[in-house]
Amino acid sequence: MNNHVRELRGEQSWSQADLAERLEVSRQTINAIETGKYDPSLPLAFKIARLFGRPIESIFVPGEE
Amino acid sequence: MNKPRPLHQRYSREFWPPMMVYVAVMLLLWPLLPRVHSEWLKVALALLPVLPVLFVVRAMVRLVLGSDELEQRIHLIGLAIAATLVSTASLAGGFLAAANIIKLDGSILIWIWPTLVLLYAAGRGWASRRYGAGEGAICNNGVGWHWRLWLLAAVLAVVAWLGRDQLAGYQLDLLWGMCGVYAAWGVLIIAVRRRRRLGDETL
Repeated sequence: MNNHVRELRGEQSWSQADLAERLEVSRQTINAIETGKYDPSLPLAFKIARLFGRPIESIFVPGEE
Repeated sequence: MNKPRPLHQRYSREFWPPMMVYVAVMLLLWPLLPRVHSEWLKVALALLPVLPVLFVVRAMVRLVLGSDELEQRIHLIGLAIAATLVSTASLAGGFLAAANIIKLDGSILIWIWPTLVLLYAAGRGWASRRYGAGEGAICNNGVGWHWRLWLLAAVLAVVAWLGRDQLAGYQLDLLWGMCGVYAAWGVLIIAVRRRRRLGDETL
């Protein structure tokens, strides 16, 4: 799965640590999500969507099967 | 190494004091066991090291419960690796002992917990790197891994030195061997890190 978390974070001028604090996760988790090494759970994905004020499907895009 | 998180600082605060008590009990009180004649006192003294270990387990449980979803996944992978390796090795050892190929003393059970914890830490480190997180991402208490390994090597060296008259030859060899392995492991970590740093500078 691909995502636009890094771009959205950049638009807000937040560091990974800032975003991690807002989402109550570790900075390493944000890094793993942004680099595509980890796909977040549905509750965390919804939390990310809510934080950026966008629908979930505009942030997380299914990758090639 | 990044700044330690409050969760990891709390873990350090809760982990190290009982661990030190455990080491002190093992070094100072446990050797008195052969001199105790009362059966109840013997049982109490034999089980005394379990008490600080329970507090260590509590610290570990609180660390896992306070972790986020990726960290909990990494803990699970570490535990799965450790449980698989230790249980398989125990099974193999049990079969060899049952077939009278090797002789196993009941005191070997003491090594299961520390082996499990060490393999759990190694498995966690491996899983952590797999998800792109560096060393100390899952439990960064501000103390580098090489220092932790050297501390462990120093504790084993002290135990071996203090027990040089009481322990059997193979037990002393095992302790000195483990001491050497941990010390060398710490040196290896430093060497790899220095090599990586030099590689980054030349890029």
